[in-house]
Amino acid sequence: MNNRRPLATFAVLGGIIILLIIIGSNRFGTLGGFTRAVAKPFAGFMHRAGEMLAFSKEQATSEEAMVALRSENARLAAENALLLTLEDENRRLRDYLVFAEAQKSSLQMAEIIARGVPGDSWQNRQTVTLNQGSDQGIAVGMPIVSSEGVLVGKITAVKNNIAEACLMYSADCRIAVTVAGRGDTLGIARGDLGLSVLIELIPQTQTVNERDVIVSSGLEAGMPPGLLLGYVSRVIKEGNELWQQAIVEPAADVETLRFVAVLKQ
Amino acid sequence: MSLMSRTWFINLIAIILAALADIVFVGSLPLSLHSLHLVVLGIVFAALLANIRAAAWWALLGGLMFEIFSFRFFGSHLIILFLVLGLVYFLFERVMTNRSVYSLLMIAIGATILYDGLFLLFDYWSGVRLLPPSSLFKALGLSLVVNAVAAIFIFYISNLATRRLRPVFLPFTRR
Repeated sequence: MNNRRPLATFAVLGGIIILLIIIGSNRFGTLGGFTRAVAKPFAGFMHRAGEMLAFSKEQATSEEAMVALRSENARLAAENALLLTLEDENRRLRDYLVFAEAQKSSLQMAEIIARGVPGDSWQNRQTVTLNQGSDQGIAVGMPIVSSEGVLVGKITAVKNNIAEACLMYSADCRIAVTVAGRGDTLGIARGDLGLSVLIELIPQTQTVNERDVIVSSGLEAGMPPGLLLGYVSRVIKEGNELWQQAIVEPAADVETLRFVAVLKQ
Repeated sequence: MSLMSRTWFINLIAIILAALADIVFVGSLPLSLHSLHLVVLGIVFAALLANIRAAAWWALLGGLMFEIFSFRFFGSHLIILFLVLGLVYFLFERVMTNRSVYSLLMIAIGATILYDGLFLLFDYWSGVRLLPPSSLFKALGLSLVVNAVAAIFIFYISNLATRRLRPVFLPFTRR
């Protein structure tokens, strides 16, 4: 290795890095924003190329029909979940004569430009990076939904023109949920080993059955109630435990997502 | 454009493209190819084919690109790539005696272990819920294999363009 004064190189590089960290990320707002704006079209193109490699042509053809059916099923289930939630809402309105103003959400369409976090070979974080950010009104905590209106995750961090969202398979993505039509919060849903979704902290007194439709309960700020998450596939109930758990089969296929909608309150 | 400024410009474009590909392209690849670390391999090859100063540019500019797109705390990528650069330099200068494919393999594996290990520590400290140890070891193993294979592949490609590398460890001698 032809090294001229390697110690000086390390000292200068170390100094620059320390200086950059001291100055802080906020000072790089304009430069970072400009770089991201320039790189985003390339990023979108590169990401699509990666996605194309991930799904072979043969698979895509044979899976086309299945995806269409799944999509239709998810749309109907979302509609059903919404109806059940509306029914519950009507009942509550009749019972308590309380008027609740309908929540008005506006949608912000966003394209997924990256999956995962650089440096996370372990895949501890199941996240996606979206090509829209705080300049478009996106804020932390807002839900992201698929084209059928199925809840797939929520925004965890934003920069001026990009945002990071955790997917429901992620162990760090936690959303208060309930059984459609019930209204009260059932428990907290989170990803389980990146493979399924688990609802924790369900009191033993609550009744949960297989194939129950699970929706967001709206307990958190920015999260509207009634967004379909999936169906209960298994209930784990131990007699000596304080809480029971339920495994949820998500209604949306997050692997094939390319565009999502962010629900802005 | 002079030869030096042309080389500098090509390097700059290569660093930016490799970092961008690492962020947006590699993450969506199938199998375990998502654990390919293009910037880390760039540092290893810059140190191998050029000098430590070229490798330092890879660490600095590659790290800056990561910081611009990443949502980790500012500086984490720069610090980790700086440490990887330090390890690569140490292994090249103090441990390895030549530029064979075996030396490269050892350095690529060492750099991958340090890079993956430090990010795992960062995630642990920042409260990210980690996968079970068995899954973590499996992920590390696959990451090592993917990056080692990529390093060998780039080595032989580079070998066509430069004579600085030696594809064998021990020269064949006829008795």
